[in-house]
Amino acid sequence: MTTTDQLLGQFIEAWNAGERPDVRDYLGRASEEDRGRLAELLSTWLQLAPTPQYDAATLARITEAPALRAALDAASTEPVPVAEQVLTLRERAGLGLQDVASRLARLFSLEDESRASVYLEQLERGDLDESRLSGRLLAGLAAILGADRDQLRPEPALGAGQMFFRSDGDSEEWVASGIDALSRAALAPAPSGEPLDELDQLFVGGPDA
Amino acid sequence: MRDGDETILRLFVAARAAGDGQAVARLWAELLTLNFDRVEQLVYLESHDRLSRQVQEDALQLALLRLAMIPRRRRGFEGTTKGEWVEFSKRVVRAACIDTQRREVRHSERRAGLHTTDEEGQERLTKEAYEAILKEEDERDDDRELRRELGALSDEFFDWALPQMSESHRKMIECDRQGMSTEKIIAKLGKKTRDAVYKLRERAMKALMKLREEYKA
Repeated sequence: MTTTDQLLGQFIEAWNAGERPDVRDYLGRASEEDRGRLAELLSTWLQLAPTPQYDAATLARITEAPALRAALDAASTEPVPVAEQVLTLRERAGLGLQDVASRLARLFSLEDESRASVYLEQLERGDLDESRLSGRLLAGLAAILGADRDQLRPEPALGAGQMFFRSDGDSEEWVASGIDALSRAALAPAPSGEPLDELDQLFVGGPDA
Repeated sequence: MRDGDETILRLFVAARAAGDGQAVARLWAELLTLNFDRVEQLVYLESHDRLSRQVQEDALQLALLRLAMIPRRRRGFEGTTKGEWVEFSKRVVRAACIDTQRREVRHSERRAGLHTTDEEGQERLTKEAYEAILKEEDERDDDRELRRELGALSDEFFDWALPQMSESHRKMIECDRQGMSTEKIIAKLGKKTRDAVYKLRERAMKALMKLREEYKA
């Protein structure tokens, strides 16, 4: 039986050489008595280990790993609500809600800044139907928050059928959140018969308002 | 450059500060790809005594999924250093392993509920037994959570720990952190054999782990 120091040393050499060693092989070669200790040593090492310099072929194999591909594919298609996008961008820009409302009022020559602030708050809480936000509003918010014009836009709700390496509960959550978004849109009251002013047009008038 | 992901991380931090969402997403994906093996191995280590190989793959998928989603979360990774990135990944890995294990217990419980009780006393866990497992797991989680909070190998920890180590142990850890080959370590530390390096490394790692315990306290 190989000792823990030798197994650790051999693992590290293989890791640094970019050979992609599997800890399970090394744990399997340790005595039952030493296995837990070796696992601790390997875990400690992996927390301080430099990332190996993989050659192109190895990197291509890593990129094609089914679990990694599934995760990255899922991340690139997961819808992010406009509410969360606006909140994230506003925090990154270091602006308060009132700051944004104020700039929005100047940009669109709105008289009622406090109502704009209320609308913004509703938007960030996810209380507004994203499909009724006007394109002008989204473009204006993007400019105020320092984002690209196209960065801020409603994403389509995620459909079922997302495939994973193995089935996972999170996919159910995403589908549920997509359904939730659609339900909110369906249940949101349609604009009343009263004429919409400029501020209403921006927040609930629809994409072309 | 030895550590390509350090450069990517710096670019990621700059893109995040500039609010460049597309660059953030792309650089994060590159970081995750370069560190895929590290995440995978940490999952296997975290779960080696608790999950079957098949279920370990579930835990890996969950960990990768959560990590991949980070740039799209409002509260994501806020660190700036490689040490913080690894620490963050370790935390996600640990949570994914625990969640996967819990789910397995719940599934097992449901399966068991479909069976009739064996009058012969054949092996079958009762509902109470499953509840006991869950309770035990909850308690272990609390304990591990505390250890995790205090025991991560952050840069701050190394700044505190390394000066306290013996010269030979400190040099050994520094060589490892730089990813030096065994041959170079032999030359640098004046050792004669690989086995001598292996033994010194194990002692240095044990000393480091002991200091980590002190750091937690």
